[in-house]
Amino acid sequence: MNMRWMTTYHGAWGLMMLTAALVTWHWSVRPDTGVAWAATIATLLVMGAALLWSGRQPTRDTGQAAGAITNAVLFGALILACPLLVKTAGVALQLDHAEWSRRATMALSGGFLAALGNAFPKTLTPLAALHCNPGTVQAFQRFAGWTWVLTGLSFALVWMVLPIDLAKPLSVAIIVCGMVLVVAALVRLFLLRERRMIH
Amino acid sequence: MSRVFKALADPTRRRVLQLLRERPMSAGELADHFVVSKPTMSAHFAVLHEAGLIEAEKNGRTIYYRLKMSVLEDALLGFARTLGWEEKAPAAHRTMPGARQGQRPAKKEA
Repeated sequence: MNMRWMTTYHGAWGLMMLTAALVTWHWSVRPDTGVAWAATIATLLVMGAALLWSGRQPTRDTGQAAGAITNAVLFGALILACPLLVKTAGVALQLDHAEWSRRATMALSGGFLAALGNAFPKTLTPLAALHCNPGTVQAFQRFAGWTWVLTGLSFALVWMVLPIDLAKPLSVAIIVCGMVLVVAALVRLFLLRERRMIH
Repeated sequence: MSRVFKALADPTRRRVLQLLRERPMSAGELADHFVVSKPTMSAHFAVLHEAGLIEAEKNGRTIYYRLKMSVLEDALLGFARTLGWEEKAPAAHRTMPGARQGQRPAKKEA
């Protein structure tokens, strides 16, 4: 059995259990916001179902579809658990937790973007199925991967260190810049493909 | 991750990855850039494949290799180059000067 997959699988379950425990505690402390907590529990149930499904797939050893779902659930659980942990600490220590809760969520989202970009150049299409020069496709994948990783890391950094009023517009600008760069590279790839098909 | 570090520790394998950065190449094309024997090159390809840094694809009788590196692994390779590991490579592992794609290095006279 793939050890890395096993660690991710059990890590995801552990984080989901922790999130469920925190949600239950917050629900008991503030029953007036029960709808929000119920929605979180429903989300956790859907994530748990997806994780159970991925655990029963025979492809788990090869790290294909089941591996991707397990990773996604792990990230989802992390995005739910971290702000809840900050919120719990804030309630316990009677501090203003709203700002740090938001910062943690946004920093994790940036980390998620970076992780997606990191894996992008590893996603290969069979050479026979490519309608373009394989070297050009590879160059595009590397460029998009690097762009997305740097975008995600900058996004996370901005939310971790800058004041909220500055972090909000700057993080949006970073994401837009990253998207424009990747879309421009994609358009160039399509134009090269068209040109190749005409000649 | 240890497999990746092991794969990147060798200058020949790093050079193979650098060549594959340009475009996918056949095993023969890649071997033409080095003075080492074909079985040695095959062993290098096997280590890189095992580390998940390259992907092999068979087309008829030719095996094509292509890069399968994540951004992090790409950055590690970049660090290896920046730190000047290439200069420390043994002479026998270095790329033949003047060797071009599809061109075998000239044999030395006995």
